[in-house]
Amino acid sequence: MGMDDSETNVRNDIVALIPRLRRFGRTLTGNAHDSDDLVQSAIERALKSLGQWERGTRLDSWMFRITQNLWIDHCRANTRRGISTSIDELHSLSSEDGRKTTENQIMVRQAEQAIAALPEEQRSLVALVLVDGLSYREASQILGVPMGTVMSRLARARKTLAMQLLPGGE
Amino acid sequence: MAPTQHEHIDDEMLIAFLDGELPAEQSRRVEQAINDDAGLAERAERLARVAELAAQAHRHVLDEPMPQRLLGAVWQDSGAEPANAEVVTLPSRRRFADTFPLAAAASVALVVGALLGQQFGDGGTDSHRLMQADAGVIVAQNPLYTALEQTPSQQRFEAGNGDVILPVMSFQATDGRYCREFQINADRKVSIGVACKRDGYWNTEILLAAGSRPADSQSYQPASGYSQAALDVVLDSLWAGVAYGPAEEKALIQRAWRD
Repeated sequence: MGMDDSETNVRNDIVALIPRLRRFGRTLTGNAHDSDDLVQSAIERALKSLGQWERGTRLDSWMFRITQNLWIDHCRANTRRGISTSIDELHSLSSEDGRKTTENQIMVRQAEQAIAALPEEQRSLVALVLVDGLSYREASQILGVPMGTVMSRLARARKTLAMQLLPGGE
Repeated sequence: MAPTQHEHIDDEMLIAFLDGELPAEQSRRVEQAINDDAGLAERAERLARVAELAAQAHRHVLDEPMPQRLLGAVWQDSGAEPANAEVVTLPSRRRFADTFPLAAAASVALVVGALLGQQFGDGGTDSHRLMQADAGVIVAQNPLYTALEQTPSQQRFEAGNGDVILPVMSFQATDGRYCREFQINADRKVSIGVACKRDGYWNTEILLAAGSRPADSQSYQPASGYSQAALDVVLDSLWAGVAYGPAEEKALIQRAWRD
């Protein structure tokens, strides 16, 4: 049986979301392999439960929510396992077309490591709001937490990151 | 000007201000407070800088080729019919068709046709070697390198063993690199891909195979629809507006795709 047009469209839209989902996954998991496992699971889960997605609502929010929920499940099942430091990313830094690593790139890499070290509930918010650029409200809906919680967690995360990345203040 | 009395601006409020999440009235008050208070301004600057760095975190992931297993997951069990692949049309395709009118329709039809009902063999042949360009630098020993370097679009490059590489079109990407879409016909299977040249290296941006080996646990059974959609996404991200005509392409080949 073939897909109807709207289902084809949804699948095309999911393909278009893959880069953002992979970046979200990378921010959550800290490494490429776990990230792609996570994104693959999220895609499979989404396609199985396409009926639960309300057409007309944002597909990206829905996919982020599925990804986030799968990641939380994974973390609960592996409570002892911390986020792994990503050798592949260090590699990608050094091999970046042989171009010089600028000071900014070093700072960004430090930011990635500092984000990876945040408590999980702060990290997912940073991933959604600071890395992906979603609004507080969208993040609150994706994570299922109140706006006030979004603000307080983001504030804690930002202060931690500032202390680690920009020493000298406060 | 006498120091103004301000309400206490805590970090939450300051951050919400920086993120553009405060109502207009409150936002104006925080802005005024920042103007009047150097200490607060410094705090704001630090927090803004943190956001700026975080916004760049893992950004390179956006430019990575999409792993085939993820594309496979999207189109798995879709039962996509050939019509779905042909329905997807993009500006790139249309402009390409303007440049090479006959070849465009033929090549799309060929890819769609060849993708139907075909599976990879065990991959132990020279043809498999062609496929190893997947998302990375194409070494000069790879026949694909020679084809990209020397073969005009829509002309066949015989890669040995009856394998054929067909450059489909050439264009300059938004980042200035020269890029070529190509097809590989090997062992009666067709793969399609895009490669771009920088600093003397051809690099595969995406390579979509017609199928994968069942022994591989990550394997998938691609439907015809996925190739077009995935390729279109990659082409869209690179596409700067126009494909090279035969004369421009010939000039580029003569100077080895260098500026």
